[in-house]
Amino acid sequence: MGVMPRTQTTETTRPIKHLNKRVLTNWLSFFVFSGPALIVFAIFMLYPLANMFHVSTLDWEGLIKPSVNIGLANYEKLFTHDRHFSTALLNTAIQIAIALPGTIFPAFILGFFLSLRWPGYRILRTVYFSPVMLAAPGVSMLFLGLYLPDGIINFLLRQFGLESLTHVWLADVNTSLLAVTAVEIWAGIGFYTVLFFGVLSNIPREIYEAALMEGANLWEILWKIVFPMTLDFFGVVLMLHYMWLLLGAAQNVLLLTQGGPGDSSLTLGFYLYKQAFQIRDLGYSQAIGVFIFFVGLAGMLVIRLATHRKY
Amino acid sequence: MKNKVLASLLATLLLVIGAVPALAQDSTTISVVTNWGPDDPKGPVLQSIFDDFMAANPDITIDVDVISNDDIPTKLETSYLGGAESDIVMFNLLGPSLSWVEDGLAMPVTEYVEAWGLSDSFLPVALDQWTLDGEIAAFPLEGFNWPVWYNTTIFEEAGVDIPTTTDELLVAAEAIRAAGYQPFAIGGSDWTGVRLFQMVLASGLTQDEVASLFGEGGFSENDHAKAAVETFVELRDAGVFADSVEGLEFNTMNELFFSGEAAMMHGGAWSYGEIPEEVMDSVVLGGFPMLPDSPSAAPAWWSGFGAKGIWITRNGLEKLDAIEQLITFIYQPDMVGRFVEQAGMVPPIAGVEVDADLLNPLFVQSLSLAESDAATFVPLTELYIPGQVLPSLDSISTDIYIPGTTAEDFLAEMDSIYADYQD
Repeated sequence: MGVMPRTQTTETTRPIKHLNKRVLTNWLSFFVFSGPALIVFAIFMLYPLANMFHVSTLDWEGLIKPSVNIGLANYEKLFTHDRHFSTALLNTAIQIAIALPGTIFPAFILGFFLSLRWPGYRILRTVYFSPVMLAAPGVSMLFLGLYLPDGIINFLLRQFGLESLTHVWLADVNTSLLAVTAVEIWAGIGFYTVLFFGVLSNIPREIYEAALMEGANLWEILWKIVFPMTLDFFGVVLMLHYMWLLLGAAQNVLLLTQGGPGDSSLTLGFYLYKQAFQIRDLGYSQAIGVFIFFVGLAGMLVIRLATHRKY
Repeated sequence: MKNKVLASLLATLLLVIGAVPALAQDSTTISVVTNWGPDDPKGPVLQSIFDDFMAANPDITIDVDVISNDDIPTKLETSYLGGAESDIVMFNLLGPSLSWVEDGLAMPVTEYVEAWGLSDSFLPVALDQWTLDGEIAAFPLEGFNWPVWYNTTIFEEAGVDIPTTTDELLVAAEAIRAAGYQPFAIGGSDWTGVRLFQMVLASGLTQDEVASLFGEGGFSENDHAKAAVETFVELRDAGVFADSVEGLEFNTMNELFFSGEAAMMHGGAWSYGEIPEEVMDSVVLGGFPMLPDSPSAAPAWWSGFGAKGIWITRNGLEKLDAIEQLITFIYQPDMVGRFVEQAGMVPPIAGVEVDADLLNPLFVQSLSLAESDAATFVPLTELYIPGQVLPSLDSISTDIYIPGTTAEDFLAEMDSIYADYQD
């Protein structure tokens, strides 16, 4: 009369209890197995990130000096009257505009042809990867020899009667940024070539054979078949190199030009380093770091939106 | 039998483990940070002194960490925060180190100079340079002089005399170029060019102006500074400096002069031992030609004792007895004499006797120049430049060598760096 049959009650509650237990088990497993990694992530990634924001609000002129909270004053200075920052921003934009496509697209093409495994591909793969095995100071010394007033580049130009094209490459305001950017391109192509080789090697050969039978040439296969198929990975590589150019490329500026002559090769990454370790204005350097963080996020979002495949 | 062997081994192991801390307590380790490594003429000399000290003091070990000079301030700061800074730091008196005593990174050594019997050893001028706010900041070690080197063979071939004024320099440069040589080699892209420019600028200022302008800025409003920079720009545009000077640096500058291609160079005592003998015989040391209306009475050059000092840190104070032994050992005349004989270092102490036959001829020449009227010392600018200004000032100072840089723009740029610092 209003009392549910015994069997129906059992059938209704058993699934709910089972579901709760399963959910609990899943969450427990998640924390047990992911917890250590999450803790490490929190300590070594989240905390420094949060600290960067905090330090950017300080007037702090050296690790052993006392700090004073000055609110957003560092940002005000950054955006309203620091001409070095605006120059660095422009130089960074130029460097990314040149080096990002200048590195990734050639690497993609070279990776594709390597993946065809023509005779000698193993040797070429090693040759392409060799710049990665050189330490940054070694690469800088190599390019110093090229860029000196009596270096190899000017020597060759003179030999071919092109003396008018010789430059003091690293000390000329018109060429210093390009000279540093060329180092980035040279050092990066090989690494990404090998990455693309690894991914493109997994594309079934039957696809190429079918395309060839349809009359497509290798260039068409590359851009009309392979590129769309690997667009997601291409986007990941773009993001990786974008972040490298934003921050890591500062090492070549440090080794070759120190941002000079004047500010002609000053980039955001190097400016951050200069403020932190040379001028020792830690608070201001972290304000630059926060700006770079958001520029990095925005850039990665744009790349992701442009390269995400919609099925 | 087996058990007895095992027991013996265990007992021996326990004895050794127990003895190690005891042994460690009996010996002291002094940690030293320096940039004087094997590639620096002073590096092997320093190591030989340390080796001799350790042989004479078996209970003291010296642990040397050789790193780039530019990295020493950062290393000191970061290790200080961890309580792990070296006991001794060997570094210059410029930039960041000007505030080390004030910040607690280094301990003043005034009382130790007196207590360890060194006050009569040091040259008064050396102690004066190292005295900041009434305290001796560190033990002066490396003296230097920094003259202009003139290749007399090239001058003879060009048919001109060594210039003593900038007007004569302009004439000489033209004649030297006509003879097929480069006039003045200098590293327009690095510290060598920066220091030459600052020395020339200082030669056009009074002592008070050097202290005021390099300490606080205001170059654009100072007539002497404006005149000096305008003259420097005139020299640049007239081709006094070697071709592509804005791209030259220390090594290429040396190469131009040492190969006999350039007639002049601004080189410090650290390079006396580098020049080939066949060129050395032609070299006469002197000052940079006088600017118009310069307060200097003779061509200008630099000398000082701020190139290297021995700084004692907070950790070093805990091993004061051992450090006293080390310091008094280093500053014995015969030990300092090694630096003089083998590395051409100007000694900061009196009473150093060396075998004149072992001395570098250019070094001997520089000591004679110091006692003559042929050149005059001008104030060292690095003693006044604030630590936070120094990197930016050095960075833009190379712009003066870039064709097209005007004196007015350059002076404004220098002042803006001081303005940024004061913000």
